[in-house]
Amino acid sequence: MLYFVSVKLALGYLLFSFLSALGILQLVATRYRLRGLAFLDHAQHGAKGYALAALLIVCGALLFFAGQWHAILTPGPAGSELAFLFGLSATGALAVTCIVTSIVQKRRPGFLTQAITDQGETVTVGRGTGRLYLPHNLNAPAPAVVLVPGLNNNEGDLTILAHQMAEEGFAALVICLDRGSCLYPEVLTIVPAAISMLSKRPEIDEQRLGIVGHGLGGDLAIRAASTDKQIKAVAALAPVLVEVQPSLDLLREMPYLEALRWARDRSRANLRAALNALEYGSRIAPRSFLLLYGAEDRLVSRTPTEAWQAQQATSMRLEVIEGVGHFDLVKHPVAVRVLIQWLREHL
Amino acid sequence: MAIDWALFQFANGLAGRSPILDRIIQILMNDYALTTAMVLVLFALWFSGSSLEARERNQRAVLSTIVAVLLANLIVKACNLIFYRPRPFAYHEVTLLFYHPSDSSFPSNAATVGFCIAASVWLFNHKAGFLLYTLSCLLALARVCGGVHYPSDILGGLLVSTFSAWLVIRKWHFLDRWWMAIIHWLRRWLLA
Repeated sequence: MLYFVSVKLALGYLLFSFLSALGILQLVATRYRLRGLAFLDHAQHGAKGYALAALLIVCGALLFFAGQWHAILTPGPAGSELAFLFGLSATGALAVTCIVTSIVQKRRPGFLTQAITDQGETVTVGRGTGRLYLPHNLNAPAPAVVLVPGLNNNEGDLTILAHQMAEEGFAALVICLDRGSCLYPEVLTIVPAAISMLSKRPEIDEQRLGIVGHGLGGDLAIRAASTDKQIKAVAALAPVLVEVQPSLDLLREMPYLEALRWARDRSRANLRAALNALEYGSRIAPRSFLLLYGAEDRLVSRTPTEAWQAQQATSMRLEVIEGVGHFDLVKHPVAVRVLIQWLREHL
Repeated sequence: MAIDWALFQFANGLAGRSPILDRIIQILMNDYALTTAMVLVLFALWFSGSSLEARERNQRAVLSTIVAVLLANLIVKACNLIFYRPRPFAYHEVTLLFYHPSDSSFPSNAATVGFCIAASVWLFNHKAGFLLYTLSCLLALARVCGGVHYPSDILGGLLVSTFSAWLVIRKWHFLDRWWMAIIHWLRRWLLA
């Protein structure tokens, strides 16, 4: 039975351990870049996470020890009761942290955050739509790239990438995916429709068509390129390829509730399995193939992917960008530079 | 016993000399400060690790520590049933900086818990284990300085805790399967 001796002391300890546990969670979130547990975005605030952690712990300790000093030196709750109170506080602190971070944290604004005024030309791609960005000074047919987003609504991020590509002399077609078009096998019709549409445009050089996909869009790009010989170059940015087992690592990429939804999304897992990009990726050679990952990406399983890449033809190149996660990759200046340079060389 | 008493007198002699030192001893020896700090280290350890493997090792350390502490407490309870040792203040003139605990002095409960956490974690993670040993030593030393334990009580706690940690982590290998099952289940909820 719980007795506590002094209810006031027990409540004081509950508050102290709750604030301290909150502080500890901020400490580990900052140290291990667990943005799903961090009240402050470490990319923007850096060391302020440590300061917040210290503040919470010190405040908790001061409230308890200064407020109840005399009671602390008298008999209080037993060890088992303190363990119970700490367990309650730690569970509460974890729940509060997960909920608060899910509410306050939007996705990081990213590295390339310029406002896009040019919304491109809306075009019909099969049953869906896309937005086509053409280079400004077209003297001759331009090479074109189809950009396939993942299933994580990063179409906006690809729009930024498309804009950059247009500035570099590429025509870029961003596919607008809706949830309904991501079903297998309907999803397989998207890229052929996009390639067919681009081939008919007079501004496009149909001999220089490439494809870039991000996340599961990377898997789709690999699958499409394996059968469509018109595609001359394939760049897969953080393709999923192998299902990653859910763990605390997902909190490096997104807040808790979003990560939980991601982990439990069976449609994503089913689509990845159906696309089977690992199997189809072997058929792309001898065409050029770029695999681009962020070193901090926790939504892909890199070890089996790198082992697979080592067995592939030399036309496949693997690039890992340090300090970049899954969602940041398409916005990161280094990744964008590597991608555009590679497209210039191979398209 | 003479050495024990002499060491106690030396440590307890530090108490009552300076109000600042007394306050520091009281902060270190109370039931809340260092014990909570050690449990907070365990809490942090659960989420720590640069890789999945490192984090899994830390999480096994945390789970093993919980069992080792429970076992150590059972051993202490058994010791208390067999043998009752009065506190130093019961028969001697000591400077007491704490309330009068009425349970057996040997082995020290606080030292047992502290050293048990430290020993269990040290067997998995030397860096965190060293930090916890430091905190445990401070707690143990403060309890002697404050007049509630003999040095031999601390030594008894150290032996009980080391034995418990060694038994749970080095001998009870069947627990590893349970830990992995718990960790895998918690991973589904992104909590491990």
